Amino acid sequence: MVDQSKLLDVCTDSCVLINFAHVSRLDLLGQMSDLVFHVPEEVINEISEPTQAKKLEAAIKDGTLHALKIVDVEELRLMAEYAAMFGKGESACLAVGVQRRWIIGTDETKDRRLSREIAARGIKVINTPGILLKSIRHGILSVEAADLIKAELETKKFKMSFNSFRELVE
Amino acid sequence: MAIDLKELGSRLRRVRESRGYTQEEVAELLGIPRSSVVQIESGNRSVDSLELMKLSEAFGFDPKDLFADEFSEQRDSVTALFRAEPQAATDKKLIQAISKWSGLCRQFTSLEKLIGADRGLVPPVRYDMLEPRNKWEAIQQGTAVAEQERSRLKLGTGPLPELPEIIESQGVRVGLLPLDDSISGLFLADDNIGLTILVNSRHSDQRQLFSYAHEYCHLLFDRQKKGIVSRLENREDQTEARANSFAAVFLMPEGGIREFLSGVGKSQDVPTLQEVYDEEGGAVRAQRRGSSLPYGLQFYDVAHLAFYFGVSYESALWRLKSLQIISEEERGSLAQKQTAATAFRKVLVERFARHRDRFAKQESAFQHKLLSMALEAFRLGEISKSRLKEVASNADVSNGELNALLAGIEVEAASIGEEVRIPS
Repeated sequence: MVDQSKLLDVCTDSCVLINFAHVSRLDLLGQMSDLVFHVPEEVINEISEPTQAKKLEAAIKDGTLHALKIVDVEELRLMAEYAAMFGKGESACLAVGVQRRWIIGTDETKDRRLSREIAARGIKVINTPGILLKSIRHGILSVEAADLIKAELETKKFKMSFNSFRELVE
Repeated sequence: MAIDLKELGSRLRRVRESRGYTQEEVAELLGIPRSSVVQIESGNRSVDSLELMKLSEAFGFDPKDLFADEFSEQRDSVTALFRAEPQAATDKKLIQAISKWSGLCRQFTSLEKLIGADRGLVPPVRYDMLEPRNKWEAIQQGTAVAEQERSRLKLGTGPLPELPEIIESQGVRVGLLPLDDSISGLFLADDNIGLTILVNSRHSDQRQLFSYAHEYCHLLFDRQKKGIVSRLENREDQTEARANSFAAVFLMPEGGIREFLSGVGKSQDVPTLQEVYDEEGGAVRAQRRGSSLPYGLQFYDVAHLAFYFGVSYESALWRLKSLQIISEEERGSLAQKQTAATAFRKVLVERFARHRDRFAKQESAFQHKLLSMALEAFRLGEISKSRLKEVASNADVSNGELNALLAGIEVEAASIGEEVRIPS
């Protein structure tokens, strides 16, 4: 039985979703025993590639991911503030990250503006390599399977700073 | 102090009303039932973020303003414009065009502030003259300021084919959009979008040039009104008469016209009788045959003059009349030769294509600037890549084009792989 109070919520940006949709492993996000992945509507709209969009839609439909509608006045205000500096999906994730103290799922931490805001607001972040590593630690994914995903993502110019997940688990 | 749902709903209602939209129209725009719009406006249901951004884009307002401690839709120039122009507020196509343009200008202003480009900007000059009491005074003011501006900007007496660029150099954003035929242009001025002029892209090049000058005059005199739509049917208004007078004099300065006419041998300064003293106590007399008109201006002279200054044949005729170079009777007579003048102009245009590309360039010039500003803001770390992509998309730059530009900026970052990030 999962202790609901120990679950951490993640507001996921498009880059992470695109990566997992590309390797057809969005299911991994639903198998984390300690994380619940949410997707703001703005992020859903940013995923324009039809195959990826269909995979995302299916993942939301089967409960792997949770669609998130932002209606709180303070979150709306934060989004409006962020809109001049960030994309709509990022703005939504940041607003939720700040207001609800949720984790943000993003691979754009090398983006100077975004990393500055994340640091200034003390927002916690998880990224694609981080999710894969957690999947290995949770026994959901083997090191070999994670490395295959890593290799597949590298063909799409998503590089990781290490050669194999084995370096991280040993 | 943070606002609540009720206040947010009330502010959204005020913005909707200022744009002349009904609740049904907003419901259709958002794809929700009208009852939901009623609930949003009464504070019984929150607008969601997608709906809010859609409304902001459709109505051309900054969503940030809705959450300000003190909200006044009057501060926004688009609202001020529609309030002052109830006719404009019923024209949905105009609302959409203005909203799209003001959105681009707001992005531009915001980027300017982010990269600090606004610090060195000197606000364009402003002429705080007394309101004209009648049309005569309005025309006098327009004429005087046109001459002063020509002199201040060191423009000499020649034609101004680069007028949009000249206006831009004064810190004004200029753009072309397809507007209703009855509208020649409009201006908007507020802190969020800066000073901006929009001209009807459906009109001829000559008319557009005149409209640029006309709207520039509004910015010089009428900025406090925040926005004016210039329509043909309002030409009897004093502010419109002033702007028309300004445009005519600014585009066709008296000195330039006389120089041009002199250059084509149509100068009144050439006397019909000349006497030259010969030091022998006598004088040599020379006589020139007079013409039926004092200047002998023919339709092709006027067409050539109009082409030279980039204005319409009709506009040139009126300017010549205002300078008393031709009489009303002559103006009428020459106006009847419009068809022949048009044919002559075609010949000139084909021979001297120098005016042709100017307007096509102008259309994309603002978008290019917007993109450059966004790239700089990204390079300086003031906006994220995702925001850069949005701005590029608004400026009609494709993803492929943007990626090629980004490759030049992100070489270093791309070579470093992503590290593992897991929250502790």
